[in-house]
Amino acid sequence: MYQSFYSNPSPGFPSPADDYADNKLDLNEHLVSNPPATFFVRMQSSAMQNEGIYLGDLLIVDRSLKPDLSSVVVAYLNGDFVVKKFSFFDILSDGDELRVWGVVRYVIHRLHE
Amino acid sequence: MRLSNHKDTIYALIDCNNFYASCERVFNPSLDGKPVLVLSNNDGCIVARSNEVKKLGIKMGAPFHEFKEIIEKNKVNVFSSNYELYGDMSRRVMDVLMSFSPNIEVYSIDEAFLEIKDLVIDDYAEFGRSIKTKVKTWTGMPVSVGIAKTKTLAKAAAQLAKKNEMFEGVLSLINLPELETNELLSNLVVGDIWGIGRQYSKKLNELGIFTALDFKLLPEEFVRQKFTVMGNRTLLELNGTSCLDIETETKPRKGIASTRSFSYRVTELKDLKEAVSSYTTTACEKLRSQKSKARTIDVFITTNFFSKRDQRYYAHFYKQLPTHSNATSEFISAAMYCLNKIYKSGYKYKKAGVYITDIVPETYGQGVLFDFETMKKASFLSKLVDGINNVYGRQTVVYASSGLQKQWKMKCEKRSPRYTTSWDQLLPVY
Repeated sequence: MYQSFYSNPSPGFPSPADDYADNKLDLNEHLVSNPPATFFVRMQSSAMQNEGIYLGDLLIVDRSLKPDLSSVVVAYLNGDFVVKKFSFFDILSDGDELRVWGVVRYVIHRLHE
Repeated sequence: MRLSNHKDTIYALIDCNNFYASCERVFNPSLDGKPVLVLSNNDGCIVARSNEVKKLGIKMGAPFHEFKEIIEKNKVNVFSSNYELYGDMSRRVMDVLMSFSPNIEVYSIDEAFLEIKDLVIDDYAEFGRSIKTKVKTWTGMPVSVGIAKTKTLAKAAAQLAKKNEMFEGVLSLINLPELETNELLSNLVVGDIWGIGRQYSKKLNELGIFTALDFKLLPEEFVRQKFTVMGNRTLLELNGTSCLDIETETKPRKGIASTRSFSYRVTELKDLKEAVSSYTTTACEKLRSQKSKARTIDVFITTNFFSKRDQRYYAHFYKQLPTHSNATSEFISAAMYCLNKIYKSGYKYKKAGVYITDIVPETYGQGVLFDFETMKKASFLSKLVDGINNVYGRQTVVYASSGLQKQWKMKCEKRSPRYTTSWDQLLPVY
């Protein structure tokens, strides 16, 4: 009986099953197009439910992308990290301190707790 | 050490500004412009200071309590080191740099040399700015860039770029008239030159040599006599003759393996532990012999897959040390941890092995946060503090074991979340 236990992915030893592992679908490869510029953050509010981002969701944020009006971004606004549509920031007043931190590319939502 | 025969090879040195503090700032921009300081593992010593903290006269390597009043009075933001975060951010910065040139030498956690060959660049300052911008945008890390014909000059340029606001973080010495280069070098003291530490600095000062320019203009024979061939190499480099090549990862081995099959089937954990310890020892010896240190050890155990009778089992697990090391004891510790994770009883093991990766030169990390003199002092101080803590620790155990736990918890309380390496410590957004 063949029993195998892969504890964690690693750049170390090749495994005996490696020849068959080449075509495995890798979510990381699929969702992260620019690894050094990609960060994962956690949504802690329901403010963006209408955009399909719910409390507790995992967001995949890419700092290398330039946002356009339809982008959803993570921004640092007046001392807080917020998630907003980029077009939202058109209405900022002079006193506001805004920094776009990155563009949200994917949202991962878990269905049942 | 051979003379470089590459004509027109350009070197860029990229140096992160206040690296640890900047890592904290990426995930907490309210800290921008505010004094930030980072403490060592047991919160004993100061291992990193932002520019604002340097201005307060707080010394690198000093024990935390020595400056406690100034720290509190100036509302300095204090953090326990978050090595997982810093290591991850460093990898990101290096990855971005690799997009500019495949010939990269990761000199330390926050510094790297790029060798630029076969690239047509009209404006090196502009090239330097594009590096700075890309790193800042993609990772949030502010850096200083120095570009020159030799590594030593590139490092000097980066130093100047960092210290002098007028350069806006980028300084290229390429095609600069000799007079201008000399003018710039007169603004650096000999101790700032890469390769000249505190001891040589003192010796030079005694001989009336104070600035980098003073040193550059010395006759070769004199330098060779007083400061050996190393000093001579530095002199040549300062004068534009490249003597030091990029040391890319391809030269020291990328990974060191140590494995062996057993002559009989091993079933007991204690026997596997003995074997793995011995393989680890061998691997560490190889590591030291090639003047490297490393951070990751991967341990595997396997049954005989060719045997029809033996039940099959293969597993591996890797562990990362908090900092690069070539100490056998540290690796054995980590290897035992991995082995405990993967060992299953009831199997007949045929082979085991270790694989050490994430290898860097022995000198990695020196001269970055502080030079060797200060580093020795810091470790002495931290040993002193550890000694004191041990005493208090023992006293606490007398009252209650939970009291000791509380004390340890408090020590790491000031550590920021592991934003990029822990699923439950991600940056919260609203």
